[in-house]
This record gives sequence, structure tokens and C-alpha cells, in this order.
Amino acid sequence: MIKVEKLSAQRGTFSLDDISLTVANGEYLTILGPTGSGKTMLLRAIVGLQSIDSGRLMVDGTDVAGLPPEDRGMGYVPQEHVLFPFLDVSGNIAFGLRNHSGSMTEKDVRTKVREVAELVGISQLLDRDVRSLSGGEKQRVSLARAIVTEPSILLLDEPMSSLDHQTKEVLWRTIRRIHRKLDIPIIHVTHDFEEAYLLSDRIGILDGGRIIHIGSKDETFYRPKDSRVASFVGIKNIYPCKVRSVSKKDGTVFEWRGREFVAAECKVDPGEDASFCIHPTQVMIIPTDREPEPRENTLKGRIVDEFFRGPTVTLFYRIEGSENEHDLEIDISDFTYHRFKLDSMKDVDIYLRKAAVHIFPDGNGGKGT
Amino acid sequence: MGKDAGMGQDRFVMSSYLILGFLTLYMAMLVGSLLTHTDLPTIMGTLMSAEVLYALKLSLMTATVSTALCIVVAVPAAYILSRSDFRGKAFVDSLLDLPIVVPPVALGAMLLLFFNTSLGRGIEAGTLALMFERPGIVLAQFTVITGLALRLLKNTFDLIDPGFEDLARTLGYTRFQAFAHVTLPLAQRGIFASIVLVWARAFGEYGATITFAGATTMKTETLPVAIYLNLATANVAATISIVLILIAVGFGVLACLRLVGKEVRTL
Repeated sequence: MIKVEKLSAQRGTFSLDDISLTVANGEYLTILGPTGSGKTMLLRAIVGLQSIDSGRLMVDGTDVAGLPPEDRGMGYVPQEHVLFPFLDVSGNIAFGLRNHSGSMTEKDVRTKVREVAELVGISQLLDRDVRSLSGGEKQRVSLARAIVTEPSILLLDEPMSSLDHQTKEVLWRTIRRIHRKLDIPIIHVTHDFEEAYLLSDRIGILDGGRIIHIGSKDETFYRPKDSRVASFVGIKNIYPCKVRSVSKKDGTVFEWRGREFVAAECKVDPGEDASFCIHPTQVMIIPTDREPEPRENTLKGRIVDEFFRGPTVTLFYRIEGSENEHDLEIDISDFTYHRFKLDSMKDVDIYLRKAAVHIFPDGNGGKGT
Repeated sequence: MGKDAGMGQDRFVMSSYLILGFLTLYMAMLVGSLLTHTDLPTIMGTLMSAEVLYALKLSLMTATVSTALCIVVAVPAAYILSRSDFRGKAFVDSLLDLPIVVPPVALGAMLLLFFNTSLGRGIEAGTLALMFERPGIVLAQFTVITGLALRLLKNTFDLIDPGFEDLARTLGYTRFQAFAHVTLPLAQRGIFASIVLVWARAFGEYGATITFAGATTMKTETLPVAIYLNLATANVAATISIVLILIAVGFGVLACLRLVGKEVRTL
């Protein structure tokens, strides 16, 4: 288990401030953050390549903050694979084992290298020159090299940022296999939401050198604690609202644009300033070929623009009577788009699913009322 | 417009070829002129003379020793200059670059003046005789070549991503082990090229050597000094023999560098 307590570090004018997080054995934490948010610096501080100004780094109960990187026993996979060009694949994997001279025989080293190569799926590459490998193969070798020494924690620094999507998917499966096999904490930094959602048990958000949120995947993507987190994870539909009542039975009744809507139960007191958000994937289009059922949270309006993203389409929706350019973003599949004939039918009703409408105590929500 | 641009391009390429041709002809004439003053048997005879053989042996030994000393100190110094920032680094960097821009004869004069101070005399008394002695040749060469070695080696280390050493440290290697097991193998071609270049520079060193170690026949007579001494006594055959040796060494150095360059390109 690793526990980072109030860690602060400075590099030039940028600083990491008061970072605290805990990752249990077998747990996978992804730190999401935009470029320049301090993700790499945080991992380098944990592994010992970046000096820290204050804070503690407890690994299995021992503070390792004062130790040099070679004594921390952590596995690190940098963004660029950094394979040693003067060694072949097996030489690269065995590099960390060969340093502990005397503790392992050459036969043990070879056995261990073969075991890890099999786990990572590169058994057939062991004799290859690393310069002849593809990007995905290089990252697998880098992963194998990091885990072969049986580290106490594995740190992954955007290891897939330069790979194509197909190669990423193969590597995601490999990382999941490693995660299941090793009972150690894994901290992975990335700016890829899909990767974070797919691999993690929990997700943290780092922005401007500070952790602004740590929570489960659903808390992060569907029930963010404030508008900052909601905006960060790509929720465009964030609006200030007034909470009228909160009850277990009826959930939350709130007012937005002069009418009442319902949401899941929330922790905001009635009358308090609040905002609501709904993920673009959770806004439902009501089929136009049948009479709309009388449901709460339905809205009338018009699709004013579309973004075709391949398998998905983002619709920009303006609510009837609104003077905004658009009010809501709706993500639907390309299949649904064509099934509902949305290419010719622009005036549609939508429905905000009660369970997906999330309210948080924050009056700074968004773009107008 | 395209035609004009094409014609302009042709004129540029043609004139560049012409300049290249003149330069090649110029160097070929310089080398060829060596053979117009004497004949091959005379050259071969003087090549085997005791004086030329002595100068060759002394040059080989002093250049090798000074290069070895220089590399031993320049590798760690260049590594620190490449990897670390410290107060006064710009000043240190400029001071150590001085031998590249100050004429060797001035460096020889500085050596001579230093070893005539009480500190210099003390050092000489406590170690070995340097002024106008053979060890002085090594010191003069060392002084001239160290700046060049530092520059070349620093460039070599600058080109190596520090991420390699960082990674090695996360795999249990200390800073020194990372340097020895990762940086040195990555730098070996650059270090080899630096050794070849500084050795050639030491082998051909004249200004600092003659000023600090003197030009005593069969004592501090390196090959470049021998050229000076033989020209002064109008011994053209000996001069030509020595120049040919230096040209052969020069070609050897260029061949080595080409080989290193080829290997680096295949990396």
C-alpha cells in the first residue's frame, strides 16, 4: 500500500501542492489531468526522481521520501519507453535483475525474464534488437522491465500516449492482466478518459499541481462533486438551479428555467445555491414516431448542429424558447441517429433521466439559466 | 517563374561545383608539391633516420599519454557540465573553453610564466621537471587539448537523454552505476571520436610545446618541432618525410571518424 501525505514539490515556477492519496495493494488509481497539470512530476516525485519540499511517502508503513530512487523498489514505465539500445529485448528486461549481483544466478535471471515476457506477451521477441520493435512492442518491453524486479508499486506515466487506438486496446488488456496478477498498487497518469475509465478502480483529477478530486469511476464521470470536476471530465451540460425539496421517496425537486425537474436524492439543502449536470450520454431522445409518454423532465426543442465522430454523434440541442446558441449536448450512437431519422427531423423532444441528473452544492454552474 | 528558379538553381549548383573543384585542386597541389623537391628513395631513407624515428616515437608517446590523462579528467568534468547546474557554471564553462580560442603559443607562454612563479616552482620541485623537458610536452599538449575534449564530450553527453539514467536508477542502479552501465555504453562512440580527435590535435601540437618544452634536437623534438628544426637547416628531405607521416596520420584519423560516423548513423 502506498500513502502520499501532503506532498509538495517545486520545479521552476510550477509546483505540486499538498498532494494526498492512498492506493491499496491490488488497487488501480488513475490520475487524469491536462498537459502541464503536473502528472509526470507527481510520478517522478513518488519514484524519487524529483526532490520534494515536504510531505511523506509511506510504502507499506515505511516513509521512503528520504530514499534515493534505487532504494525505493518501485516500478516505473515512462511516457517514452526509454529502452536501452545497446541491449536486446531480454537484456532490457533483465537489466534490473542483473544489478543485484550475486542474489540471482544467470539461470534464475533467464527464467524470470521468460516468465514476465510470457505475462506481457512478448516471449517471441526476447532475442530481438529493441530498435526493430514497433511502438506497442517497445511499451510491452518497458512494462516487463518495470515489473520483473517485483516492485512494491507500479507507476505508469502515459505509457500509451503515442500509440494508435488499436495497439492501445491490446495493451489495455495486457495491463489488466498484469493488474490481476500482481497484488500491488498501480498509479497510472493519463489524459485519456477512456483509458482511465477502462483500467481504473478509482480516478483522481490533477489540475494546476493540485488533486481536485479522487473518487470512483461513477463519482468522477456521472456524479462529480462540483462544476470544475464536471467540466474536466467533459460534461458540458452544467447549469445553476434552485433546489426546492429533497426526499428519499421523490428524490430532489429543483427549479430550472422557471419549471420543475426531478433528480436523484442529493446532499443539497432546499434553497441553497446549487448546480445540476447530466452527462451527454444520459440525455434520451424521445422517439418521434410515437406519442411522447407523459414523463417528468421532458423538454421540447430543436437540434441546431451535429458533430459526427464516427461511431457516435454529438447533437447540439436548443430548448424551445431559449435564446442561447444551444443549451444541451447529447451524445448518441450513429445507429440511433439514423434510426430516429434525426438527419431530416430536427424538432425532437428529449428526456433527462432522473437517476442521471446530478445535483451538487455549487452555484457557479455554467452558461446561463 | 519556375523556369527562372530552375536556372538560378542550376547556376548555384554549377558555381558550387566549381568552387569545390578549385579547393580540391588546391589541396592536391599542396600535397603533390611535396614530391617535386625530392624523390622516393631519399624520402624513405630519411624516414628511417634516427632523428625522424625519435621524433615519431616521442610524438606517439606524448600524444597518447596526454590524451589518456585528458580523457580521464574530461569525461567526469564534461558529464557534470552537461548534467548539472551550479552557481558560476557559465564562468567555469568559458574558462575551460579558453584553450580552444587562445593560440597554443599563448598557452605555452602562460605555462612558462606559471612555472616561474613560486607556486609553479614548488609544483615542479615536488613532482617532476617540466620546463624544457619531455614531461613538459605532455603538459603542453594536455593544456591545449583539454578544452577541445571537454567540448566534444559535453556535446556527446548532451545528446544522451537523461531519462536513460533515471530509468536505470528506478531499477536499482546508483548514480555512478547508471553512469557506468548506461551512459558510458551510450556515449562510447562519441568518446571514441573525441579520443581520436584530441589525440590527433596532441600529435600535431606545436605552439605550446615549443614555447614550454623547447626545441632541442633528439630531446623535446616532436614531429611538428622536427619540421621546424629541419626547415631551419634547409633539410628538405627530412621535412617532407615528416610532413608525409603527419598526412598519413591525418588520413588515419579521418578514416576512424568516418567509421564511427557510419556506426552512429546505423544506430
